[in-house]
Amino acid sequence: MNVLRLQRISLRFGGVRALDDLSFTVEPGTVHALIGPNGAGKSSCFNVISGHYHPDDGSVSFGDEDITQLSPHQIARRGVGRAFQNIALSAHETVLDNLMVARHRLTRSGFVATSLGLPRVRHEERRHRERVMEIARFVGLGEKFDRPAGALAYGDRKRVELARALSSEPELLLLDEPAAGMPTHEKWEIAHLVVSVRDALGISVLLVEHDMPMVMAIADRVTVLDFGRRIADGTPTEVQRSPEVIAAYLGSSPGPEEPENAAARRTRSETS
Amino acid sequence: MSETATDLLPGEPKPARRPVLNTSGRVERLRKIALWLSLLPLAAVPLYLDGSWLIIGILGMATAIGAIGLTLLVGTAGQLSLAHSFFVAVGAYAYAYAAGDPAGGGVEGLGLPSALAALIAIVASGLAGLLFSPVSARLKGVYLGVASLALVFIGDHVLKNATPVTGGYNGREVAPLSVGGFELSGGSPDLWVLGVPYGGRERLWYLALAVLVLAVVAASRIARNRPGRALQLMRDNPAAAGSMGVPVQRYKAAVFTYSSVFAGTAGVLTALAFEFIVPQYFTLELSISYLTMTIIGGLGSVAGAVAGGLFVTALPLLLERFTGSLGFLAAPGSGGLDAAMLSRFAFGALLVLVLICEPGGLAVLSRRLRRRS
Amino acid sequence: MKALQLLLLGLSLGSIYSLIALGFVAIYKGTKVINMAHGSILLTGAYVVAMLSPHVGFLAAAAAGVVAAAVGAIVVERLVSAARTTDHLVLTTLTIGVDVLLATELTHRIGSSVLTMGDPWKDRQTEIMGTVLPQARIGATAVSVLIIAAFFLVFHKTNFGVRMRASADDPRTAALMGIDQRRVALASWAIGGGLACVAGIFLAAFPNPGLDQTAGLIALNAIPAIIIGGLDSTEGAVLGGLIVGVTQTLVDGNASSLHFLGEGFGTVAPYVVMLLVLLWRPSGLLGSKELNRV
Ligand SMILES: Nc1ncnc2c1ncn2[C@@H]1O[C@H](COP(=O)(O)OP(=O)(O)OP(=O)(O)O)[C@@H](O)[C@H]1O
Ligand SMILES: [Mg+2]
Repeated sequence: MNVLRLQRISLRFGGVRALDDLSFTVEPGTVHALIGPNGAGKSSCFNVISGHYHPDDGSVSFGDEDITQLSPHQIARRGVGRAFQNIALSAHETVLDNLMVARHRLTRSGFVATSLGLPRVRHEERRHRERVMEIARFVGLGEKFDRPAGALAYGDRKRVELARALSSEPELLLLDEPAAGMPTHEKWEIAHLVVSVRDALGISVLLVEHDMPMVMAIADRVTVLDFGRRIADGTPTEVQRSPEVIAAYLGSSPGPEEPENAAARRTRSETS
Repeated sequence: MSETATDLLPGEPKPARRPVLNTSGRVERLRKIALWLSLLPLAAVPLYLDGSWLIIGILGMATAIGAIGLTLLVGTAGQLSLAHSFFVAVGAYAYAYAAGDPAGGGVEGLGLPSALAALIAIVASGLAGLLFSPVSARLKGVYLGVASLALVFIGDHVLKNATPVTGGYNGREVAPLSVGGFELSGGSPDLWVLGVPYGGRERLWYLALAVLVLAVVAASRIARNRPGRALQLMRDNPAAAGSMGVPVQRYKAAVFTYSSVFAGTAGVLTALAFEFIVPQYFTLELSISYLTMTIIGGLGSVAGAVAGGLFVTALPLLLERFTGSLGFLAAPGSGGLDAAMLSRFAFGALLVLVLICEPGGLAVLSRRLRRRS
Repeated sequence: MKALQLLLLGLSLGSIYSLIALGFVAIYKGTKVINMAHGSILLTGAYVVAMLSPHVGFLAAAAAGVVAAAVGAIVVERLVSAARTTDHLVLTTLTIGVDVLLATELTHRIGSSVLTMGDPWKDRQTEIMGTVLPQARIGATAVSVLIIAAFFLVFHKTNFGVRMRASADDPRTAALMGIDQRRVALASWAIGGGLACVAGIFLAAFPNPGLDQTAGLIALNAIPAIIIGGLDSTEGAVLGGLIVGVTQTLVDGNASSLHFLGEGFGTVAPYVVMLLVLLWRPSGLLGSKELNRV
């Protein structure tokens, strides 16, 4: 199992320091939470790990390999899966197709073999479809395979997003606010899911989440960001006691549970 | 939920416990059989219609093949191209050149067996598409569309100036396609079927129909399977596609190349149907016609591309045929409202109307009607 | 001397292309649509000028043409915004449909005649720096420089320009700030249309013989210009326009020594330059690199 290690990452957008000298390590088989107020740089950090942004400074390694300059598909192929904060599905395609696309790195059929309809293409398709359906049931999507993803309720779309990331059979899963905008009971379902992803599947999870009770309940370790800088890192209890964390959450910006703020964040994230 | 978690072990996919999507699978199979049966009357058409009608169908089918390639590129992958006419031209001229008589007055040819020439032409158009990949892999959507204009104008220039190969402004002749001495687009040797003489057009009808079926099958497979899903996500969210392991740049180049193979195939068949090709056919206007077909049919829909291809090709030809009986149409070239102009108005209006009212085109309309019934 | 003359001629032609390119970019920045009907709008404006000029005089006709082209562009904008999608690919394709309609009608009306503008410069030439230049081209350059300067002044210095740039850079935030996107869109299309007509008038003037029914295609010469300069850069549009004008003129002027490239290579050369620039910098010389925001 591979360790994810971020070392002294800095990322700037013009004048904005999205990430500032950020280091932390995700141990295999753990749920590691990354928290911080809005705009703290959590999603930017995910973008650096998954190769969408290349940092101005610092390095990311996965296992023994430096992955800082790799492109997203190369990182995905190394077993890093990702669920996006803003649902990034193909709205017109079916749930099944949306999940199957995550099998890309595990499958071979290219343009020529597929056009010719070779038996191995059909065979591959069938095998992977079964597996993906299992995953869909696992995340609680039931049998909604043939529905266009865009036609599902918000909570179900969030689940498809999660199921898709799982469908790539990752070793490390990046979850960017998988339960955002869900009612409390659904949030806890997602929390259970995250735990069973770790325990039953042995997948490490790096989790961004604003819901503090949930984070404290399921995380093995927590890293706190504010203005792109790490202000705390430790077990949930350690972090909770840190004066900087308390200041960051009470000071500059309203707490993450503030509904007004959550709504503002959602509009912002859905518009981008 | 968590009880299923225990049997969800990472690693190799397991065989199905029960067949899923069973009912829709059966419906799917019935639909397939119905589709194949519908080919029977199409195969009988040359027994009843004469060559001047058949040519409309042949050109329509040839164009439909090109439209299928374009609908994959524009509709499935979200990459606009205005260069389709260029790749159609590459197919047409490469065939004419490879199969052409080396001793033909003024215009050169390689004198290769025509079946081989057809193959070479299709490969050549694919290669031309591949050569464009430094551009097609890096540009996105509309931006690729305007950049691809370069190919149309540069291509037009080459067609008009590389006279030894293309015949320049005056164009060049196209040798008929024959396999083992039997012409598939010409009249030798004589052939009679149920008392009907089967000349070039009757034979070409079957060739076009067969290739069209192959094209539909291949493209539907692409759209439904691994490559198509990757393309769709690339269209809807390139970042997500990358994170799902799709090499986005390579896929952009691949789908561009793939669609140029379809264009080249359309070019070969078009050349066979025309028997003589001139650069004035392979213009920006042709690219726009191809785009119109895919839009009317519904972007990304293979069946829609076929319908659109047949309609857009046939309308001006049919109007022209009926100019005499349609009182309001002027004779071609008389300066009044003639068949070509009327169909151009129709296509422009359809483009605008379809995109304003139903961007999904015929495909979505027919799906809606089917659901209602 | 010939080189200098060609360069000056090229720059003057380029300044005309810059106007078209600037129109494309204004529309693109305002609505993220590449107006493929731009050529037909140019020709519509020029057609109105040619029809009115003998009756009401050149200046009044030119004004009417500019208004007609601006109105034409606004009509296209209305159609685009009537579509039930925000997909720029679909919207751009819609403008192709409009172009087909307009071009068919214009072709029908113009027939085989050549549109002339009745401009005051006629075919007079003037000697400058030892080279002989058509007065129409000098006029074109002067007018283009004035218009471009005015455009940049408005774009960078006025309230309206700030609003336009704001909604181009970040439409949502601009909307939140109370900027009326619809007015910005209308204005950018109207400006684009008007600029196209001015360019059309000068393209018809000496040393060109006038505009025929295919002149809409000439506006496509601004496509290499905007891609060379960068689709979202107004400065790039001007630069790209000049590059295209100079390239075309230099190649045409040396046609005899470039004969191996084929007849009429001048019209294709800008596209070759465009491909080279694309290989080197996919977002153009001055365009901003697009980041996938996730
Ligand atoms: N592509 C970009 N261009 C410019 N600025 C960006 C870009 N991506 C992120 N930023 C900026 O970087 C900062 C961090 O943003 P990021 O999305 O990482 O925050 P976050 O912690 O995920 O916030 P949230 O909780 O709202 O999701 C913000 O100021 C944001 O505006
Ligand atoms: Mg975020």
